[in-house]
Amino acid sequence: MSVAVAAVALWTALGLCAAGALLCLLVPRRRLSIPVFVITTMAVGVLLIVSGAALLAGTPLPEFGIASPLPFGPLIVQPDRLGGFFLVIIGLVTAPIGLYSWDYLGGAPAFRYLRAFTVLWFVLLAALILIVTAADAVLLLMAWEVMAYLSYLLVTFEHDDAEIAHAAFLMLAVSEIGTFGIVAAFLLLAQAGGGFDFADLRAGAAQLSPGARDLVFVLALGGFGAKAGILPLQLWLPEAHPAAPSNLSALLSAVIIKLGIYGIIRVTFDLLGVGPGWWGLLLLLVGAITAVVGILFATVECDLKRILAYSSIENIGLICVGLGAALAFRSAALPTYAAIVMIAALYHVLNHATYKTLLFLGAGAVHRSTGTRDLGQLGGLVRLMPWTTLCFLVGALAIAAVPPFNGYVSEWMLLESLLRTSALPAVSARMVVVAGAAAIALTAGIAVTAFVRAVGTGFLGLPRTRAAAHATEVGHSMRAAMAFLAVACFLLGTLPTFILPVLNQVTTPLFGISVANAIVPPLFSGKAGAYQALVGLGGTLFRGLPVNGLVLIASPKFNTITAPSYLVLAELLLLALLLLVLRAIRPQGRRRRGPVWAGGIPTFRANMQYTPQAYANPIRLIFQGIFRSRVQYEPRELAAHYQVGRIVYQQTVPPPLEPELYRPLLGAVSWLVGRARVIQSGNVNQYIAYIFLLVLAILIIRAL
Amino acid sequence: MVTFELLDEPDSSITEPSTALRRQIQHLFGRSLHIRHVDAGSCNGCESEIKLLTSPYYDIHRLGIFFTTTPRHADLLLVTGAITRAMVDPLQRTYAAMPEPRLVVATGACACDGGIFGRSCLTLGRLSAILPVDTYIPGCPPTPLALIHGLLLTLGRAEQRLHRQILAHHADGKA
Amino acid sequence: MSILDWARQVRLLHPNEWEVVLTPANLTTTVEALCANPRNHFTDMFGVEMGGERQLRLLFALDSEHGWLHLVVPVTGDSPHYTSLVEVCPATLWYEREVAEECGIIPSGHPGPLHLRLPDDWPEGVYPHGGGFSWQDKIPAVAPHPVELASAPDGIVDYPLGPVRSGVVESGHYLLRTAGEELVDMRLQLFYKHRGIEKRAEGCSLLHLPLIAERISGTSAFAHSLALCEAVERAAGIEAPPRARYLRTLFAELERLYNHHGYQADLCQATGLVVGQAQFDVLKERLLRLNARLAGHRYLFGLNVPGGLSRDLTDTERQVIDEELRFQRRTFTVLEELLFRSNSHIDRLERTGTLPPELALAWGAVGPVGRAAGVDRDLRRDHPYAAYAELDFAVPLETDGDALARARLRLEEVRQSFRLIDQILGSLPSSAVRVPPEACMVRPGVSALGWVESPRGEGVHWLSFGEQRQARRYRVRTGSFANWQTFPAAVPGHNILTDFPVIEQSFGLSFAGADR
Ligand code: SF4
Repeated sequence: MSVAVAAVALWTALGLCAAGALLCLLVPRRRLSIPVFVITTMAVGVLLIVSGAALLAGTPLPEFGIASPLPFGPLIVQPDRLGGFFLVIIGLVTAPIGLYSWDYLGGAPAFRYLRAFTVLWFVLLAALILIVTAADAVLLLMAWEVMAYLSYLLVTFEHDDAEIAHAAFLMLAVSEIGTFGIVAAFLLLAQAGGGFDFADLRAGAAQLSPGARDLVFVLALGGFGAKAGILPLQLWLPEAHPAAPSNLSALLSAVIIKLGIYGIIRVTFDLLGVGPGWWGLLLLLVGAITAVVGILFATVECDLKRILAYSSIENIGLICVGLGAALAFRSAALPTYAAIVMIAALYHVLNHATYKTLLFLGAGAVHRSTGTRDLGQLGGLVRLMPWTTLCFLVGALAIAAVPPFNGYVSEWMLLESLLRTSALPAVSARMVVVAGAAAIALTAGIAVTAFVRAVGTGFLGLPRTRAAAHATEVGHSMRAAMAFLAVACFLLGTLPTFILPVLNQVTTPLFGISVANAIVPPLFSGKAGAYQALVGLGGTLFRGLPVNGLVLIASPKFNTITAPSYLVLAELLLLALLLLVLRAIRPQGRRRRGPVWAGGIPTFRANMQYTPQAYANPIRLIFQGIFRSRVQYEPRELAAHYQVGRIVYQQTVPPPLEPELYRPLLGAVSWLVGRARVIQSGNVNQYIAYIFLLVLAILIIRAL
Repeated sequence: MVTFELLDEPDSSITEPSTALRRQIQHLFGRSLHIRHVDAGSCNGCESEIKLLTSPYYDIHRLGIFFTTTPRHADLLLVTGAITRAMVDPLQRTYAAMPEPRLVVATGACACDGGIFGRSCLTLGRLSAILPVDTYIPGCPPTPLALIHGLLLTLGRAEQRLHRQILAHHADGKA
Repeated sequence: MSILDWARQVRLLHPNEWEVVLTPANLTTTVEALCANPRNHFTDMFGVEMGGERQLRLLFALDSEHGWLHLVVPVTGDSPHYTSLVEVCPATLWYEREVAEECGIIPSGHPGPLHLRLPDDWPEGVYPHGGGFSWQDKIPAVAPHPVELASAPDGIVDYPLGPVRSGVVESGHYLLRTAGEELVDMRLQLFYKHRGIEKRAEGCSLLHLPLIAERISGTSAFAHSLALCEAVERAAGIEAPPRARYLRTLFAELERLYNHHGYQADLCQATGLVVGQAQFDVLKERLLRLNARLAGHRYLFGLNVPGGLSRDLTDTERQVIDEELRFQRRTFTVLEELLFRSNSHIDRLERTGTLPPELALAWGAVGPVGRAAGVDRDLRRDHPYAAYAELDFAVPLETDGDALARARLRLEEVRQSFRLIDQILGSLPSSAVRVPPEACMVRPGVSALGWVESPRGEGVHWLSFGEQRQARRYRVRTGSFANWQTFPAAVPGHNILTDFPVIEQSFGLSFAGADR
């Protein structure tokens, strides 16, 4: 039954993508194409959720091969549970984006190339679906390249800005470098296995020498990592994501970089099989550094969407820490721990997809109604755009891992499972994992700062500019989309016990062990312990619900227990208590509202509020070793003396690794390209000669 | 012969609390009083004395009296100086920023009746022209002990020793 | 010899006081020539209205001659102009604004706004020292026209402080500009407390003038009344009796002592050194009580009168001073040592709020603030008054210009004051302490200068009398006014927001004295 549902939903979704692209191409009128776009996108989203959910519940679909004219065998579509999980994520993100686009695409400023945007959007969606459902490397790579090029086009063509063109091109370039790594990894596996479908690759991996397997691992990590935005391949991300229209930014940050994670999981956990311990530790270290650097830069950035982009880097880092730990545990033959930490990482993938979509849509709403994304020009939106502010606040709380929202659950689980390092045999490995845990803790702390700053300076206080003062609330569809995601953040954060068994379905085939009972203890069973009463209570209260219990992680495998669902109750109770106390101690008498007290001056002006730069200043100074910020400061003493002059003060924070790595690299590349230009004469005969020489070379190699 | 010029009645728009209400306020603040001081054009003599209230010799904290930085926490406004034009607005803002009930004390000859400045082109010359004054602490500057007595008087914790009637009596030369 | 030979129409007004009359045209060259000698110091600049005609007056201290030079520039017309002197003598910046605002004599080419001291709602074109109305006249308010400040660069917070600031402090407004921690800029707005003292003094008799002078700055009451009385005595051509001169010196030093103790207490408060604050407050309070016992007033109000003192010192009182001083010395030595052992205190002062010596000199820093930044001047030594010429004391000097230098300098000055008082107590001449009031009569129309090294820097009073021997124009330049002008130079740059209270206290300036 579920197999049929999954198959039908999946193929309908793909069909709808094709139909949507076609319709958008044919419908000339903006007023028609937007509804087509919205309805089709939402339908695709819903179908993907249905299909993915069915896949997660049931068995893998039967293989579906498409004959291909290429010499690599048929192209195979055969989603498994991992693919199904990512299908859910794509669906969960696209459905609200579709809804959001109703007002977003229709509003001012109008999209110049609306038709191209909508057509390519559906092609991109189809490519995304194929990437996670492909069961052979060739189809995956083809879809991958389509995705890379389309995201490049979609980012760039609404703008004439050279800088944005540059940013998009950077994204494409890094993606292509990554593709090299992926192709090389697949080629190595395919050569050993004798074919390109995943079964062949798995077989090939088993035959490879350890050195070759290490190489495949590193190549795949670099290749997929480039798309995910791990350090040091992150430079393009904060440039490209903000440049895109906000509905696309959301897709880029919530889904497309996650496909890099999908690739890493697919290759390292599925295709390659168990590897040496250092794989995991390498991934973990890279993840930890990525997370810390990402959040640090998010804290000093002033562009709302760039903040979100940097925070995407941070979250990818966190996920990589989880994946790395899972790899390390698996290498140490601790599949239970590996599965648990993997579940945590997957949960974080899901959570990040929801709140990052929410935040990007919120940033888009702010940009739409104020025309700026610079925090230094915003302020006071809470009174003018209450819905957007509320939704953005939920997203910010979620991403800052504040209960009862979803970021809290996955980050807590991640941290909690990383602390189980004592199970690892090697001391060095334990230390690396603990360092990863410390990095997560640090990241979580700074994330709070970053998002308090974003909300505090962007939405609270007085409007800093005329544009912010004249902001109006965005349209209903945009609000509804954000509200939907906010609710999703809340539910994912409060009912993890519904989600975890499903994620367990994903990891069970990867590790060959089900850990459902280790994470969510069965009701009224197990040895009597301190927390059993709590478990029992949860069971009693929610007896009617189809879950094991509402107490999360309360098993002997873990040190502590946490119960997000109870936290909601606790928070509500505390809130009620607080209100009661406030009511009780509220002084009698009338209330007066007065102006802000500012030392007796006539008006408190907006520029007397803390600016985003000032708020981030302590972080900037403490981590100056990482930021390498430069300050241009001309005090012009006379300015103060004469009372009227202006001073010059400007901080610049170069993007991470830009001065150290990218500048020299770019210099070297452009030097090389300059040399290579010699072979580009533009003469047709010469190109024919090149082809001839290449064929000759191939023949010779074959012959050898 | 020394004559006393009695102050005008305060502006009719400025209402003073009734005796009962004053009792209640005194009861409220009796054990814990927070003061916001505002310099409205003093010569710094009064500030010097007020500052010494917290010094070991006087240690006004032992009486439950404290100085606060913000008027939002203040129960009593302690004003010094001859009320310069530029300070009228900040002074009124400070008073407005205080929660009710609130007390106002004019400190020093300047705040009481303008001192040597009086009503001039640059000074209002007395605090009662803009705020309802509860207590006048005369002196130029009033010594710390006079200040303490004035504050305790405001709180109903000390007795008033000179009264308007007596002053008027003296002023009329019927002593 | 010097400038005195160079200018032709130099007139000797009183001993050590010369006057030269100039035209607006040759003012700039004269000032430039005067400033070329590093021992000449621009001291004051003000406008005078006498019987319908206006004068621009500049005052220079000629340290090598131990004298003072008035430059008098009569101006005419409805809105008289002269070329701004800021280029040749930066210290004139605020003075020119004041003259423009209060006397209507306009400096053309002045780099800043002209509005300085009058309230924002003061109507333009009404000049307090341009004649036409008395201090009691009501000047109607107009729509406020504050100085428009240039906006800060992006990302900078305008941090408003005051006029009602935290703690028991005087009123003044600072606009601190910070990038989160470091102070990058500041704008100073004083004069909330402008009471029009100089206007108030117009028409006052000799009897009342000291009362007014005492209230310029209550904590330097004796210094200011001393300067005033000296001016009156010079105008009358008399000198206070020797005993009065010695006693004046004694009280001036007692005043310096309690001020410097208060200064250290405030500085301790700024750095959070509560014990230090309490201890210095104890020393200060004891001196105030001593004052009360000796003079009947804790701040020595009413002690100075033209022609001497209103009160003599008995031998018992001399003993009392001696005893108190022994206590003060003992305690102070211990406290000073403890202070320098308190790293939490010293670290906050070191390299905080540095006033660059070259700016201190150019912008006219005086008194302890100037001496802490290498400006080696002290009126007690360079232009001796009262009995200082007969006493032996050193003038401490520091060159770092930071808060620590200012604090150290004042500690050293305390020790010098102890020395001075000891000498005075040991060599107090016996004579009357006051010339009879009839002997202290000024000639109508005369004017004279009085000066004093007050605890906060040099105070210079200029007094001109009218036909009824009443004050016609009273001009006061306090040390605080001169030093406030240099204050903005010490704040931006290498200081952070939390340094600001330390910087402010380390200057130890009075708002009342500057605002007048
Ligand atoms: S009352 Fe006296 S001491 Fe107080 S501010 Fe006025 S003049 Fe100064």
